[in-house]
Amino acid sequence: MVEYAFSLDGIFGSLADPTRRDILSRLQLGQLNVSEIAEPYDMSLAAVSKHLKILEQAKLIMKRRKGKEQIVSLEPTAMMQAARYLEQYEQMWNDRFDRLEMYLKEE
Amino acid sequence: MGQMNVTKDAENKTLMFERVFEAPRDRVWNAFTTAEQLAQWWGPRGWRTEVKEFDFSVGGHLLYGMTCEDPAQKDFYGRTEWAKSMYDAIDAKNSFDYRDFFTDENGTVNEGMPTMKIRMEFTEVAEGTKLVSKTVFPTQEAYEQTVAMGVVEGVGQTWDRLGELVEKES
Repeated sequence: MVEYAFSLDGIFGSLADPTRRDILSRLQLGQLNVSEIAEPYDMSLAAVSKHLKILEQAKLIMKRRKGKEQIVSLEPTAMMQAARYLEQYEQMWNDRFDRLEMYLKEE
Repeated sequence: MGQMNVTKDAENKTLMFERVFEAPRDRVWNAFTTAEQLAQWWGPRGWRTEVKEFDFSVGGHLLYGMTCEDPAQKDFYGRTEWAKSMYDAIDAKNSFDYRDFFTDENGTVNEGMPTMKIRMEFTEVAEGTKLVSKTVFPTQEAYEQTVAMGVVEGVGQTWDRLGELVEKES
């Protein structure tokens, strides 16, 4: 549970930026190579690569090499985790309240 | 066990949990605000909580480690996770506000991770004490996007799996 919340904090962090959110939305429609991803943005390829690195570290996307190109696609596992996040968080508090209740009854 | 009520407020990026405990408010308040008591119930089941530093005052903090002692939790068994709560506001017996961080054992906050703000409220009711926990997520966008992406992706995967199944059987 602890580690779970930990990795999801990383997901929230990477989603805090509008460019990264936009990249993820576009990848939902299908995989893209790095220059395709960079095209609509008014920023250097290096800057885009930096965003991609953060998304990769949060395990929201994966990169693979195809010839000279780098193909980027969504990493579904992390996305599913993110979706389950609120549910897990709720469960954590519910368990915590259970233990508090037991503790209060003990004395 | 008591029933926990959940309210999701996307507009204010807040999740709210409520539960009534059959105990006087002072007792519930003390369970949160004294180190010896907090350590006995705060951590997850199967984890031992050790309070390393505790100063329950505005600007003060709680630094604690949680160690997994349950062999059934395989990968977690033997692991220790450190976390810190920093107290931003205290209204004695009524409420307190804190921010939650993951840290190392010296209390150094892991950089680059958004923090959650949590408010705990204690109210006297006929049955005992009503406890409300309100978590505010770091950004509205993060909250919504997380939910939206998960839903879209989840639906996509369901169709994919259905497609695979249909293709296999035909």
